[in-house]
Amino acid sequence: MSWIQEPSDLVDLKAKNKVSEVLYKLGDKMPAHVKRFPSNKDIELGRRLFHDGFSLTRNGRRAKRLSKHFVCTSCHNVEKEFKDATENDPQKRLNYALVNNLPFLQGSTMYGAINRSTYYNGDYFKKYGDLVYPARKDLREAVQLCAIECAQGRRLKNWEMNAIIAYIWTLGYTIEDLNLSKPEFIKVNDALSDKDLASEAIALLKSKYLNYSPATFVKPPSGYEKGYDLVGDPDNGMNIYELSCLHCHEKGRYSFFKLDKSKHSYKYLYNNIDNYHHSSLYQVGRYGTPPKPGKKAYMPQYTEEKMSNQQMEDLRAYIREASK
Amino acid sequence: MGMKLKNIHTHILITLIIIALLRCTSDKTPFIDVSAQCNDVEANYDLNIKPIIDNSCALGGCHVNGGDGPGVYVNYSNLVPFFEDGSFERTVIDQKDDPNIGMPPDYSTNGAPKDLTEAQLELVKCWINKGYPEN
Amino acid sequence: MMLFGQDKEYIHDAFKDTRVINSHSVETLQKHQLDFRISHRFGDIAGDRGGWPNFYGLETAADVLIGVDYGVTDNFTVGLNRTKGVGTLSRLINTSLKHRIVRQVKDINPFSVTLVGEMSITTLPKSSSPNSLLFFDAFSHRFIYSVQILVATVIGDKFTIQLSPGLVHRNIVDALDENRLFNVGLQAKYQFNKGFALIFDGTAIFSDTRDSKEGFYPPIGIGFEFDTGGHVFQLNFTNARGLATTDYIPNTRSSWSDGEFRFGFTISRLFNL
Repeated sequence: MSWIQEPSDLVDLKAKNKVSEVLYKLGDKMPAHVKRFPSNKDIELGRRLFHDGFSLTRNGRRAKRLSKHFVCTSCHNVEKEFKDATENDPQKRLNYALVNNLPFLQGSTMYGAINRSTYYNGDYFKKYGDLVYPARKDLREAVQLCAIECAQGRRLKNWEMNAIIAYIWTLGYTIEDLNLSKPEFIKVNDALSDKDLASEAIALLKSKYLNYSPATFVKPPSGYEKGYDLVGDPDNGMNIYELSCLHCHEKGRYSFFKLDKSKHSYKYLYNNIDNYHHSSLYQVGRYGTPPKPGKKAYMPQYTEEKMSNQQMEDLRAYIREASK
Repeated sequence: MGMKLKNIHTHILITLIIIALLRCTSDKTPFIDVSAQCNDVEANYDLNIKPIIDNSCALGGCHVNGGDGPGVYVNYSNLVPFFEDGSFERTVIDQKDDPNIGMPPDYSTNGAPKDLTEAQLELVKCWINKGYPEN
Repeated sequence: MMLFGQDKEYIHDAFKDTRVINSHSVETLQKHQLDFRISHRFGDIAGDRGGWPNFYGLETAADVLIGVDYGVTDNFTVGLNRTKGVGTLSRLINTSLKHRIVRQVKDINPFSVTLVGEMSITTLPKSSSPNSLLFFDAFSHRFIYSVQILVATVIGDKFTIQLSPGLVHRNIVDALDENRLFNVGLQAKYQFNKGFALIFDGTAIFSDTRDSKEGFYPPIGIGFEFDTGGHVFQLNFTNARGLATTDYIPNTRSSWSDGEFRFGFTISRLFNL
């Protein structure tokens, strides 16, 4: 049984066409995690699971929450995070977040995740070891790993997984997102009706977005008092504090450690910068905190791609200014 | 489903509040005119109160020299300050049921009685009502 | 710069805990949060029953509390705890329902308002003496109620003040006592830094049966609060021996000026359930 309905009207390429559907029509192999055609019911269930952390069973009863501590949107956005889908720079990501009113989070966005072919890349092996291998090639296994380890929750049941994948499917790139030039658009359009042009069109499409999220773990500076030896911009630091730190720490949303915009918070953070302890911005930004029995809600660290050294210094500069 | 749950919560809440309110009463214990009751009772320190105090209070480890309790209850004049500040009446009568404050205390370990008997309590109440007469 | 998803700026928490020494604070727990609580009040530090003989009260337990509060929603908390109790009706099981009506919002709403209702049941055995409070000729005589409306405001970064008018109703009282006691409490907090604050809790009881001539004194406490994120510790001094609202409001007979105040502490630990 075909996992996806043959998009019979996909003869003329349109901006709103999903890239996955176009690739399928062009004859590309589908990734392992796409097993069934997403129904509207699945998509809605998946959306609830993603945003609320629980959903309804087939009987209409409320299923147990996936995690007591987090929901998916604690760490992942569902919107685009760059204008250019091949981009990766954290400052460009922050600028885009500012303009579009998005949180600036440690996890990659789920937008376009269905188009990626590998997950838990790069240095995540250092954190999760062998657990990353099944997750690397299969989004379903990546979601399970996230649910158990990252969210400190439970395994998803089959129907829940189908629902989440269906929802993530709706967040796939569209042709519009790839910013094709007019000749490129025509090339892909022509390939829809000419099999000989297909492989070139597939390659072209795939070159227009990152098919994985790079992850490079970075050490904190060797001396916390000195920092990364860069001049920090407090205005940029303020954006990081508001869009990133306060997303989890304001009002104890996802953490028992509360932060706000009062002098108490700034003074605390500033006074603890040079502690080699998770009260320090550097320590907690680069290493995060581990989940502990009785305190499972932990903090994930920022990789280089999610917070550059310059941005850490910007945050430090803002904390210093605000604590005065 | 979310709406249904909210309704159940509200219903349970309202039911609990109604049950609580239905249980509301404004009752008092019967008023006892101690003075009238004590008219015919003879109670003074020398006659019948001293033995009670000697057996229940002025015991080794308690209200004696070197004991834990304040005061040395071996004679009437030593007891007078405790009448005047109200602590005798408070601990022996008013708060006698309090395990820490009530006298005699429940925690005494020297074989002393943990409570006064009903008869002893009645005598002491009348004695207090008459103004702690010595004789 | 507008905070993401925020069109109203809620003020940071008025209090770090759901209690200020003995009284309730306007704070409710977040949804699915469980607050495990242990409180202790020691014996009198000075006065007749304090001093060196019982190591300034540390060898005596005036009252102990163990229990839990649970956030059913962000604005509705239920509580259940057990206290030893200090009145004649002691050995109490205390239940509470707490509903936050309004939250302080910058420039829109200067106050947070919360309603709290408590019901205590004494588990003491019946007394055979018909003149005793423990005779319990009606089962309802085991119940004591309290209802309070809490109004708090945060001033600047450091100072919070709260008023708590309320009513305590005891179903059975002594012949010359009053069933209903109207009271008004004042609670305050001064936050020194993120983790450390000074707290105050005082209650005035408006009844002729509760003035110092009758041997009663207003419960007043002062203390320190430590917040470690997940745990809140309160260390305090208070004349009130009791811990439950239905207990310390009608039954405080200890006087600060006679040295009849005590050391006490509360530990609160949050869990995600």
